[in-house]
Amino acid sequence: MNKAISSAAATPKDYKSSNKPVWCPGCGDFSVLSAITKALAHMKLEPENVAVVSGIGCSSRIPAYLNTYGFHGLHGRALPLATGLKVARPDLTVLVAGGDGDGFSIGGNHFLHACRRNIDLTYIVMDNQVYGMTKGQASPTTAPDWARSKLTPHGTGINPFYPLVIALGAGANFIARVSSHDPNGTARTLVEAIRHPGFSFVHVLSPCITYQPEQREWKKLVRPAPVEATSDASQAARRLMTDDNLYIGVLYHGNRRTYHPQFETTAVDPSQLEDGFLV
Amino acid sequence: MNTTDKPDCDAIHSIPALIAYTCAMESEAADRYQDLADQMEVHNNPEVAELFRKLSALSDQLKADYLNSGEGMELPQVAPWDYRFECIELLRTDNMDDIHYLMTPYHVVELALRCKKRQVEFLMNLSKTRDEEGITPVAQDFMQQQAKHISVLKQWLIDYPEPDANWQEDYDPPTLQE
Amino acid sequence: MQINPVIPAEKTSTPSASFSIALIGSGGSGVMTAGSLLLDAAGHAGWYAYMTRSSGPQIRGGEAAAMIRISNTPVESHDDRFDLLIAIDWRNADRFAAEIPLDGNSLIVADPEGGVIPQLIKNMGARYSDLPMKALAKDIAGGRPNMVALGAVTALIELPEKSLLGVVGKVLQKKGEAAITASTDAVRSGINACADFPSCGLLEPVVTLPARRWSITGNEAVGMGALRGGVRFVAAYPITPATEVLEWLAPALDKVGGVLVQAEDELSSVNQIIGASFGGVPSLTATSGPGLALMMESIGLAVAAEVPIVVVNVMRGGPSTGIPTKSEQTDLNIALYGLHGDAPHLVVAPTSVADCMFVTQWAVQLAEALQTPAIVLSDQLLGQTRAVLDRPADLALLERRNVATRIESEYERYAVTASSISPMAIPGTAGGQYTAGGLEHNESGTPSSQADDHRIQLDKRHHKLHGFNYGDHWADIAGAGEIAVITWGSSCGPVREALAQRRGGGRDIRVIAMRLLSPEQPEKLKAALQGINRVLVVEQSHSGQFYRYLRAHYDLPGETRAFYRPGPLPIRPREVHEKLAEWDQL
Repeated sequence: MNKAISSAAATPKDYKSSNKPVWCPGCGDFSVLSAITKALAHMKLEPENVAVVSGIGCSSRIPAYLNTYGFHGLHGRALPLATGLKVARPDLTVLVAGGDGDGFSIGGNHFLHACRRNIDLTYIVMDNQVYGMTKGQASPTTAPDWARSKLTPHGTGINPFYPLVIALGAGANFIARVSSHDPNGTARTLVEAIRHPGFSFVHVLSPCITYQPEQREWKKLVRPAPVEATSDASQAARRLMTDDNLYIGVLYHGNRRTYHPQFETTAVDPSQLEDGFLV
Repeated sequence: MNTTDKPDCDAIHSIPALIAYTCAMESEAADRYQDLADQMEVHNNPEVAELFRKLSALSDQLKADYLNSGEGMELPQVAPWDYRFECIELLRTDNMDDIHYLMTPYHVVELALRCKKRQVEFLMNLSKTRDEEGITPVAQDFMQQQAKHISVLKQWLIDYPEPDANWQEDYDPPTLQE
Repeated sequence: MQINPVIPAEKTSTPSASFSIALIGSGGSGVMTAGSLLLDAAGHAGWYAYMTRSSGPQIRGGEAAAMIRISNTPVESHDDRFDLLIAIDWRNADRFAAEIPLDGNSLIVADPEGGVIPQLIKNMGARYSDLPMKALAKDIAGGRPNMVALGAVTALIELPEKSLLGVVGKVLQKKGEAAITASTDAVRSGINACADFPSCGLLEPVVTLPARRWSITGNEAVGMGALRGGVRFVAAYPITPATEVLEWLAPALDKVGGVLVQAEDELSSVNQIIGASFGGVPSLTATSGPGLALMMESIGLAVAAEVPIVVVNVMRGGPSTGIPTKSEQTDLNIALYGLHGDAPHLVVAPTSVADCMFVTQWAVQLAEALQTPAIVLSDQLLGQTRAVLDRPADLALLERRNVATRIESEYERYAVTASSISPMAIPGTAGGQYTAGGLEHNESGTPSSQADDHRIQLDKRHHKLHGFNYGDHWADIAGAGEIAVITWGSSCGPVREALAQRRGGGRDIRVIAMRLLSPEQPEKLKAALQGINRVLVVEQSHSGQFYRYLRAHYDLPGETRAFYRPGPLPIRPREVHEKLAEWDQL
């Protein structure tokens, strides 16, 4: 499960742990797992120098399926966990993973501030517009008329979130959407996201075969955005006005100020601070 | 990068490129069969899991054969996303249309055959259009390799019974996990 | 100016060991600053000192009171009464009446233009003198009434003038010569104006000037202890009365090579420190009751994943938003029992301002060694009290995190060992990769719902803490006799003061000031209570949380009584004294 490999000769398989995923066959998350391993292999990152931090939900199980360090944290709290880790250990590559419920509902506040703080993290949200693990409730990205949850049998009647809009508005430095039906394209975008400084947000359309089987149509409906990625936030904002949640590609790769607090190398011993108390 | 990628066959203009492509494709297929085998094992469908493992082994063997033909050649290094692998599109682990935890061996073989059919079509297309690069004989050779596997699969299809009408029926509802 | 003593002047001839002064004023009169200057001046002159402050709810311009006790020996509590009250004005001062008890021997010095003395204070029967501080200050360019007041104090208690002026000069250095001159002149004006005032007592002079002494608050001491323990990452979300811990740590961390990140809420700050600690860096946050309540789920995660963190909780009046600026000892229950599931963890509590440094350092090192969260229960009275005290002794603490450096074969993060502490692989260590998390797991860390795995890990997490030898630091025990007082936190100060008052009279009393609250130490308390047949429990709560904790987990001998009352008023030595005196008569 935790083998050290020579990354020079690494293949994607070397980044998989011996734990077999328990996701339903047909789940979009398999693709994301595959894409992550391809990205890490391509970048030749040592698995011991990568950490994957997640919250709670089906997609949050992903750290256990990778041969990197991992932390399967609390529902909605993956981003602060990853923030503390990255600030304490800037040498590590830190990926954050979770679903739409974990990230946009209970995790919403942390999502806003992670984008704003713009620390060098890559946040992968596998959006299936449902709470899968708890048997199919509506999530913040579910359509208002989806009526198959027992909690909201007439649909929520509430407009869904637009994650890319929020990410752009809150200050993320790299914003992209990918579809799990294209694991190779996803891998390529992940490499770009990891390499881009600051907070990279990758929104993955990842269907749920058990609770949203009609999402199988997504692979026919998604299409590449007809424009190139931009570094201009206002241009990105205008493009988002015509986004129907099915455009694939990198929307924005910005130059916003990133936050990277430094641990000083010229450090004094705490005893030297005592003079400040002397009477 | 947001524009439509060109189909793979457009990119293949030399024998090394063809070998690199087909090796990568079989390698990818082998990985996907292996992942599918793991999924089926975890979901308590051992017969299907076993079958996927056999298919994975077959893909590994094909890859080894292709590599042999390329002995001594310098094969191009290609990033995984620079291939599109439409032929084995159906083997994506998240293929909601064809993958199901209750699928039967018959479904598996039938799926594999559909992939093979596409692979053969792809090779046929190459052999017809790339004559000037000397690719044709190699492509035809590869088609032969595929043909051998296809007949094995066709035999399996005869051996396995067709699934009945309510093969998908599961009386238990989904369970709560966390 | 007019001097209007209510009672004819009388010089007191016997100096006393301690002297208590209160300064009140409002609307930016500078009472808090005056109090700090007085404390530092007393320290300079060789005395020990202890200062608390109270204020109205306004951010600025509100009514304020500084209460200072000066003594020849270290002080950990206010006295039962104040010797001197200086009032720059009386606006809204009845708010402070209950905190400033006066009697017939006390002296009130007040500005006649400062309004009417509140009836509550008048009824205390103290002597009275006018001092027109505002008018005197007006006569000096740039003069301020609070400096006149300080001059008055200097004269009345015979504080060396140079000590006060030295401190004033140092503090006002940045504001320039003119400010220093104005303040010096105002101080002198106050001194002169009080030359013929009635005496209200003298302090015993300083005999030998003690060596290294500090002027420090409990919150600052917590910060210092954290750094000494090795903390180099802090996540911060402000909350009264804990914010100063974080504010002290921010620049201090810069100097020692650490980092502080401001979080968006307490859920973020506690999870950030878990992440940083997982990455190998000792980490800490500070909060108060409402924040600790939010953090409960996350502290449980640290228990389950065996990640060391320290959460300092500076207790305030509760429940809910409660009384943020006042002290109470009512977060004991949540600190001990607030985690869902069976989740053993450390809870420690300092017994004095100085002890804040040691206990925080101890908490950090224990947490690291035992790979578990530690909650440090300080409170507003310890945290925001400034004291002049002897520099606390260095105590060599050896506990460190057990880091897995060389991974031989298949690494098991939660392997069972003799001590139940498993070597922890830090990210970056090849071969040590594992996934930490809150799900129950087997020894490799793979999630498991199996009965034996759950039992093994529960036993491990229990034994890790309960099998550890905490040494003698679990409590501070002093004195002999048949009666013991068991107490904790800021209640220790008035208890110790009450016992000092009994010197020479009454039965001997043993004080057990508990520091380690979780895991419980029944064997150690049993040994400490050898020969004791009566126990008095003292704490500041309405429901007797500490008393019930003792009853739940310990055997208490013979007759046990509990004295507990809620905040916001601090427990006075006299209250403890009276409870003990009841037993003296039996």
